[in-house]
Amino acid sequence: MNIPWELIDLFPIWLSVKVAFLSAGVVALLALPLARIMEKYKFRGQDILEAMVMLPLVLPPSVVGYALLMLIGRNGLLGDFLHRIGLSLVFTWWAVVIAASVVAFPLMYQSARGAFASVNPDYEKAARTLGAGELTVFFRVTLPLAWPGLLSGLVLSFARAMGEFGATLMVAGNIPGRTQTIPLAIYFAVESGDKLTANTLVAIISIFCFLLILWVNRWKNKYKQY
Amino acid sequence: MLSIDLHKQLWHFNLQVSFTVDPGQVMVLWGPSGAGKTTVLECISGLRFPDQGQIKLQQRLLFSSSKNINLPARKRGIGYLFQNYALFPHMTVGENIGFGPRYHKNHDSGSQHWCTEMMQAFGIKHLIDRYPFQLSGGEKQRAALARAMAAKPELLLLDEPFSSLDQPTKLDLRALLKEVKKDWAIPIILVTHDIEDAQALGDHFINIQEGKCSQCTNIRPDDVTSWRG
Repeated sequence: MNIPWELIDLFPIWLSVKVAFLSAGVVALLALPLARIMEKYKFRGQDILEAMVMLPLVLPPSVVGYALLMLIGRNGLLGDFLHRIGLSLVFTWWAVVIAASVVAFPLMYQSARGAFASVNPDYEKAARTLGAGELTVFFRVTLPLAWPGLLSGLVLSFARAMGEFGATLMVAGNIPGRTQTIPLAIYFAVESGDKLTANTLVAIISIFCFLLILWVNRWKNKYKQY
Repeated sequence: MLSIDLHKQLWHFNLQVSFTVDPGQVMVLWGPSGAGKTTVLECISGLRFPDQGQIKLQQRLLFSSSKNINLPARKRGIGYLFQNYALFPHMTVGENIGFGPRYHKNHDSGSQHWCTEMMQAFGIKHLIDRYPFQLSGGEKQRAALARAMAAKPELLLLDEPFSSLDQPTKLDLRALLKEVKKDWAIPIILVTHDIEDAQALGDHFINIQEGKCSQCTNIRPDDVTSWRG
């Protein structure tokens, strides 16, 4: 198969992968502590907070995009302030990361909560009676035992971030070489009849995602023997 | 010596327990399920907190509602044997046993030697690199006991330690526990449903029913049927 690579813009691939890694990282850093707190403590308004956190999962992406525009758009709550100090988030790759993170967050959060809930509290209790402080309990007992569930969450949020379309289009636009991610590139390639780009990008992302899932499942089966 | 006086409001009743245990003595706590026995153990170890009362071990005050003292579990120096062993599944037997000595106040480079000694004493040295899922019930119980004792506790709590074991293994472990009682001379509290375990190991007995305790010194088979019914 002879693919004329010079005719295909491969920028979307690098952007999508970069955005997916960054978003998955940001989301993990924020969702893990939140899931841990929500799992461990009971406080008032917890169910409302949880519903808000899960909202981007059930809302149409265009609604999420609209809400983000209200926030970081030129006249938005935050965007207005940023515009005044000479910064703009919309129509930059940062907006791509923000959109991807917002839609991926509920997936990581949900997986993390499930993962932490699946850890038998007796293990943590045993660690405490043996002299471990709370941080040690978390890093040496809870985290390793929750790890398979957390990894699933990471992969899911990575994939979701990579596939984000609707919200991305609204806050970042489809600017080739700047904010055009793989899903956007595929859509507009199909629209404009560019079958070569469409087929190539579809093939690349499909193979990549398939290998990712295959690797993670294999790893999970090996890891969780107990 | 351990002296306990605690009150805690639970779902259906008020838990009120008060007793003392001398070093080298085994106090058996028994009663029907839901009577509050495990809650007593959890309160003593610092995993849960009484509403009111006092817990004193040797000369140390672990909990006192009147003096506003409440030591966290990690500072109480109390060994706890859970009903399901609670061996860390992602660590080997050796790593499980080494977990406690890392946080002991006298932790030093000799702790590796200490762990090996412990495993030897409990007959599990050959299992050092095995994972808990590879062990039999009796081996898990030995490992859990060795892990608790490796942390050099001043009090040992056992929650139905032999409940899921067969008779030969139970006899083995009863002998092991008697050795621990003799060698370590610390107070031991045993929660059990098994009358034979209670009679074989216990020096004093407390019957807990719906949160209230009564002291008995000897268990007769009639006592068992009376609370079973």
